[in-house]
Amino acid sequence: MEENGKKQAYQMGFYVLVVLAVLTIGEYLLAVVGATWWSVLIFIAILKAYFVVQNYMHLPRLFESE
Amino acid sequence: MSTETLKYRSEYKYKLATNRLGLWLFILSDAFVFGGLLVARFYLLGDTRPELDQTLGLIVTSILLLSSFFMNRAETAMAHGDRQGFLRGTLITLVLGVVFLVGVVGVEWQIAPFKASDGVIGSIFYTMTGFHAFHVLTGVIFLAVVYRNGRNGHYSAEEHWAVEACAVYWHFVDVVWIFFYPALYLIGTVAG
Repeated sequence: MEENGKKQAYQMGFYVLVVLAVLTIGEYLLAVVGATWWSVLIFIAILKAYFVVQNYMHLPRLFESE
Repeated sequence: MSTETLKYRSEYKYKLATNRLGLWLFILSDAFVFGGLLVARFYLLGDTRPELDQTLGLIVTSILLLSSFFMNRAETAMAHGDRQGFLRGTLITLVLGVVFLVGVVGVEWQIAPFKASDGVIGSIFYTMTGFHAFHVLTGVIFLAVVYRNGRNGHYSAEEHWAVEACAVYWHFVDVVWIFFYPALYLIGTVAG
């Protein structure tokens, strides 16, 4: 049971890393091909920050009842 | 379970909740400083960006994201009582943090074709990366302290607030770079 929970948490961490990697490469390619789409690049940054804050920083823990 | 143990656990849970609130308030206040730097960058440089090596930017960004992954693994390991996994994850995070610092301060600062005194671009670039690097350095020191304590048998699956605080702080440093990376390396055309 405990081992299962740890495995699931590890898996979630890995999925977040994959998403972050894809988004980072995406924004890099977008910039390299010469596009200066501010809004798209800023949207990608916000999306990446959301994944880190939600899944790595565990923001929901802050609102857990004592 | 004895009454004393129950009382201790209840007190610990209360302290944990207030500690979390305190840490997030600190992070919020720190975020305003970084937010101010970002606003300054867009106000002063507008649609231009410093002439930087975009590939190096991608490499250091990947290193920092990878370090966040290992920090998350380390925290998860300790939360499940896996001390070896925690020590391994913390050490890898620490090493990646040092590599990031070397990449930015040791390489990027040396090859950048402008100095801090070279007008607005130099001021913005070195202030943003310098302030962020200082946070990475403090994070590395925090990691070293937590690693040492972990090796000495501190922390458990039930009580590991210092590990959680270290992880949240480290991820915050990562989040800041998530915004600094496009602002410095990707958005806009190279200033002539």
